[in-house]
Amino acid sequence: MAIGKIARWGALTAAGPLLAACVTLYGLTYDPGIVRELNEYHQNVVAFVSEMEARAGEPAGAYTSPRATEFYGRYRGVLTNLVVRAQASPETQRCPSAGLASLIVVNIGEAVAEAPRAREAAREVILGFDSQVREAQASGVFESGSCTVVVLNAVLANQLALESIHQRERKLIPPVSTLALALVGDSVRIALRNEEAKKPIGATP
Amino acid sequence: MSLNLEAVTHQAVAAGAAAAGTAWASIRTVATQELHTLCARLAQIAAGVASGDITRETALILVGMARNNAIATIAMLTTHTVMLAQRVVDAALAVILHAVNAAAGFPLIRI
Repeated sequence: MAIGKIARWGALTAAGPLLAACVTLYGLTYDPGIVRELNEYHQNVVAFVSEMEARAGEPAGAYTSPRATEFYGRYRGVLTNLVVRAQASPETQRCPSAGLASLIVVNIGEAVAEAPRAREAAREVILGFDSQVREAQASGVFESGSCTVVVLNAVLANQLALESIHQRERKLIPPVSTLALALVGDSVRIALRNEEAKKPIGATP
Repeated sequence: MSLNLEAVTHQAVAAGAAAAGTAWASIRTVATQELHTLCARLAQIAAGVASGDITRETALILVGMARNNAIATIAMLTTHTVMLAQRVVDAALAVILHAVNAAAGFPLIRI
């Protein structure tokens, strides 16, 4: 690592007059393909949940229905491929996100405790949140790549969580389906904002 | 070759600050919105558990989804911050490049 740094400095010094005036930190590059796939996924998951809610209690709305089987299989593939695509990109920074996430827990505790009629449940939810953040830190699953890999892993994990809820409850009905879909939408928006940050100034969408 | 180092430094810092100005405001807005949403989702899960509409087992899965989003939010803000640093450095370097090339009388530094 140190030898690599010295070698790079040597090369820079030798280059002298060809010193680059623009730098690219960590190789962060905007990928319109990721944006396109995320938008398409979001449109389809909204339509899918709406359809499952309308058919809740019928065989067509069950986790074992052909439509659900096709949808979950398809997006397991599409989202896993997005993560792999990001892993193959030149982005080199190791994301510190899981390590820092516990900082959020402290501040969220007070805010959630304000929820009406929910103080006891709020405490349980925060304890669950805290332990899940610690679990993620221990597993290192969210620290295994660049920040783009991390945000796309979150989209994939939330899609798998939606599937897991459907399997457990056998149907998708509000308020569970509404909340699960909102959380899926949040993860898609966060991933879109991550990509948006890398877009060159003045570039068209 | 004559170069007013003090003036160039001042201009480079000003260019970097200008580049950071709008970008930093944007990061603050995004961070506020996402953390507010995260709090709201956890409050909704808690309310659902309290009313009996959401079982504890399902609530755990939903909390796990919120956890994923908290981690993703920090990752996304990290990307914003790195890009901000890049824009600051680029803006400052552009000023220095222009000044050095003008002083040298030929394109000593090229992009």
